[in-house]
Amino acid sequence: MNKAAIVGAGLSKFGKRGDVSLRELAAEAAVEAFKHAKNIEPRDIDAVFVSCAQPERLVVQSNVSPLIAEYLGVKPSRGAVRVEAACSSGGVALRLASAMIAGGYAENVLVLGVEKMHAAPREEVMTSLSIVADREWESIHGINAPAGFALVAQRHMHEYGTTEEQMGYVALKNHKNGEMNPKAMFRKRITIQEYADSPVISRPLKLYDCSPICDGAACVILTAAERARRYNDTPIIIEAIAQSTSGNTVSSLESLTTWPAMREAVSQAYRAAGVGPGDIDVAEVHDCFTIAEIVEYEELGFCEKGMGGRFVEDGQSDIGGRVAVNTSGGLKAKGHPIGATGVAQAVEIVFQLQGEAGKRQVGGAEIGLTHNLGGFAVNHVVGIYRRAT
Amino acid sequence: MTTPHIFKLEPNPSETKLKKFYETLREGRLTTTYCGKCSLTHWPPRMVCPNCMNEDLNWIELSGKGRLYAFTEVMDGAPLGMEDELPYIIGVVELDEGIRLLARIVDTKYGELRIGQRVVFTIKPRGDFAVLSFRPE
Repeated sequence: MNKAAIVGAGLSKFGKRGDVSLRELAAEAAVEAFKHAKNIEPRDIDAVFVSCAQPERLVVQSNVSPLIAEYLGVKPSRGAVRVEAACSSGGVALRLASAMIAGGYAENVLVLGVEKMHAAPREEVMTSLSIVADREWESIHGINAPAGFALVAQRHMHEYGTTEEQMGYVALKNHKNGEMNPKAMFRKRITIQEYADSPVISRPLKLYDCSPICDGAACVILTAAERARRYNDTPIIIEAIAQSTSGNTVSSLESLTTWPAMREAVSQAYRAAGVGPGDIDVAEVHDCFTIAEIVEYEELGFCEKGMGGRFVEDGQSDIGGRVAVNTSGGLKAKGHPIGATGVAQAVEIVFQLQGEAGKRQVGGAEIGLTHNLGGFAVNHVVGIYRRAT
Repeated sequence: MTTPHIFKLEPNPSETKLKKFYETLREGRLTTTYCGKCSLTHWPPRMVCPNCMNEDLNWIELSGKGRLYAFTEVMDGAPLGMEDELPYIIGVVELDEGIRLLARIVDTKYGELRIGQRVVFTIKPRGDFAVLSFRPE
């Protein structure tokens, strides 16, 4: 099978971007990705995947993939398509693009994740996030993203003794990392006291447990691994990218704190890449809420089940710890523009493995991992990346 | 200023094959579908069994009794049309039949609830829609 390699990676500035339209935001990331690569221009791209979760509701625009391709001057002779899988749209787009290359359906694929969430009134955004759940059976009760993960947090605290303070350490770490990322929405450290004093959103989750509503875009350019050196001196090989899904309602989940679909994707990815959790130097995981990152340490095998709170408290996920997690600032501090997130995770891993991550560089990083989650922990994409040797 | 939304979150009972569910819900009865072929009680109710594709399903009434598996009080970020209900409690209830479902938890305070507590089914009106709810037993 032809492995895909990333030869270009770019990110827009994340934040409240009232200064740009959706396509302009997308172009900021794409231009940076083409500059990051060499010998490749928009006309060399033959397929486009645009990851964008809810443009119909958030910017009142559908069919965004040809729209963005046109704006970038790409003529996708082998097709352009938008991918929607809620917050995991970006990871899914990356996986499908890799499959196109592996199957020989396209040569050079542009994967562009984008979301503009601040243009719509806040109530519209809240409704849009709520209907990621099952509208008829769950959204009608007023569930939103914080409430869904508040249920996870309460169960994790109940089953394993995880504390609010431990959740706070996830926020502190990711804000500390975000301070070193010029593209991050929040570039300031927070204290445990500020965390504790932040307003309650959905008990027990507070404001600083939650990733922000954000505008942003991320872009990677993929080609077959054997052609990759033409376009980048240090291509990043996608060793594996796996996806697994459960049903959408809470009724379909075995437990709120153990995520079998994530375990399945993790195990497929490790097996295909021939690595294990101890081999990962740097990981970008889906910290939409602090408790999610804690559960993810466990499901990725970075620590034992139930020990995720202790793992972060002990500094094991810090830069310089056992595995550096969310060096970009994660969704918490970098921001979470839904469609952009999964692609932005890959962008950070590319920069880390190329040694281009600046102040937040993980020394000697060789193998990276991404985990992108969709819905109320029902869809999971896990990618494993290695610098070409 | 709020942008008008076209769709309400509440389903229109006349535009689903689950009309019977909503009719009985409004009468204060909690029902669902049951597949006689594989002795399987479904949640949510449905028109085809996900286990054997059987379309000849029976309606059964659930006990409406169970235990609170998890709960949260939503303080902020309500979807359109529910802003006035803030704060409200959402819980996952494990029915005695073994089904887990999401519902509103009513007639109580967050601080008075605990995991494992016994709860019983009730309904709360929202306009002409009956919201599936539970209250402490």
